[in-house]
Order: sequence, then structure tokens, then C-alpha cells
Amino acid sequence: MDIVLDSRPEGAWTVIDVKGEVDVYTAPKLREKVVDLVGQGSHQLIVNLEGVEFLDSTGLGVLVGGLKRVKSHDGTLALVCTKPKILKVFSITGLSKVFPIYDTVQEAVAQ
Amino acid sequence: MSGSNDALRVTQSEEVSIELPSKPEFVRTGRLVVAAVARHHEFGDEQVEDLKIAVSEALTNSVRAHLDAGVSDPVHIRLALVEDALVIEVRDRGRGFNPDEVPVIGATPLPGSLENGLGLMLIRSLITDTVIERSADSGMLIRMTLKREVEPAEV
Repeated sequence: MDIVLDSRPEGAWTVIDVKGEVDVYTAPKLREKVVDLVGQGSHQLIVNLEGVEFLDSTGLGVLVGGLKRVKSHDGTLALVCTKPKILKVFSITGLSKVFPIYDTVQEAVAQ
Repeated sequence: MSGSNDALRVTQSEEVSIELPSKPEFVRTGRLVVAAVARHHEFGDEQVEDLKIAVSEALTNSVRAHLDAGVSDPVHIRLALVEDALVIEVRDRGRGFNPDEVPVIGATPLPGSLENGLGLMLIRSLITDTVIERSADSGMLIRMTLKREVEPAEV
């Protein structure tokens, strides 16, 4: 499996549903998606990682880059993730304190 | 009877050694090989996931090092079960880096050399027995050793 990216509006937010594996090969596609959306004026992003089977530091790098990008527009980047193997990567690197992480898209939207 | 001796040696050692093209799209192949070998040696799901992340970080580092150095050589992976531990070596021919000079990133990460720092942090957290050295042919050698955990028996 490669990576599948879909985006959709959800109230004031834009949700990016990520499916597949995020690594050095696929992370640039996610970066491109985030850059495009921010360029189009979407500054309230939710990246839904529930469909992600693998994520390493290149994926983390893209998400941190996205966070910086939306913050420069006073925006927010929230994550949706409940998979222990993916959450582990965020907790080891301390990034679970940097990103708001929710269990569902609905919870993220409600904040 | 050299033929039968060779066959015997292979069954005794069971070392897996592969060369991967130094391209981002082959990092996934490396992960899958390592996962398959670890499962073959009866490592549990959580340890297999840890190994996949660690080897992905090591391979990503090597592929980038080759790109930076303009080297098109393959990246080598060797895997062997030594007693109860899986030993994984990732070797490249990039210019290498000084592992002591990679910035340590805490709870508030800084951008810049972020990804390299995070990758190394992940490897060292997941595989505590990790050795990084310059390899004989001027690249880097990352050797990760993970002892197989016995899965708790079902009650």
C-alpha cells in the first residue's frame, strides 16, 4: 500500500484523511497536500491518521512543517489518532505535547 | 562433496543479506524484509513494529546520505538471529555524520535538522542496543540488536 489522501470540509475545519504508509517516499505527497490547502486559505486543519499503518520521522517532519505553516496564519493543526503503534512515535519524540490529538474527527471539530 | 557442505552451512547460519537500491521507494521494501525475518524468528507484533520504525529510520538516513554525497551504490542490510536477539546492520557509503553532534531534541522540538534528530531519537528509544560507526568503506554502519521478548502466556 502506498498512500491515499483525501480532503473534505467539516464546519470551519478541513479534514485530511490519510491512509497507508507515511515514509520518506510518501511524505512529500502529504507535504504537498498540506501546502496546497494552506495556500487555498485552509488554516484550520485536522489530519486524520486513523487509516495510517506506518509513520516514521519523515511523516513527523511534514506534520511539524504543517503546524508551523498554519500557525503563521494563526491557524491550528490537530490530529486524530487512536492506534497505539502510531501514538508511540509521537510520545517518544515529545510531539504528543506539541499537537492536539483527538480520538475522533468529531471530537477534534468540537474543540 | 562441497555442494552438501554449502547447503549445511546455509541452514546453520540463516543470515539474510540484501542490497537495496538507494531510492526512497525501496525503504518500504527494507521494512517488509525486516518484518518478515523478525516474524520468522517469532518476534511479537509490538517488537516487529519497533523494528520496522528503526530500520525505516536507518534506511532513510542512508538513502539521504547517498543522495547528498552523489553516491548511487546500494544500501546493505544484514540480519541474523544471534542467540535470542535479532541483529540488524544497515550500511551505506554516504559521508556519514557524527552521532554525537546530532542535536538532541526535547519536548519542544526545533525545526532545521529536526528530522535527522528525530530519526536517531526513535532508533535509540526503540532499540536501546544501537551502535553507530563509520564503516570500512567510508559510510555509516548502524547496528541494532533487539532481544526477543517472550510473549506473556494467555491466562
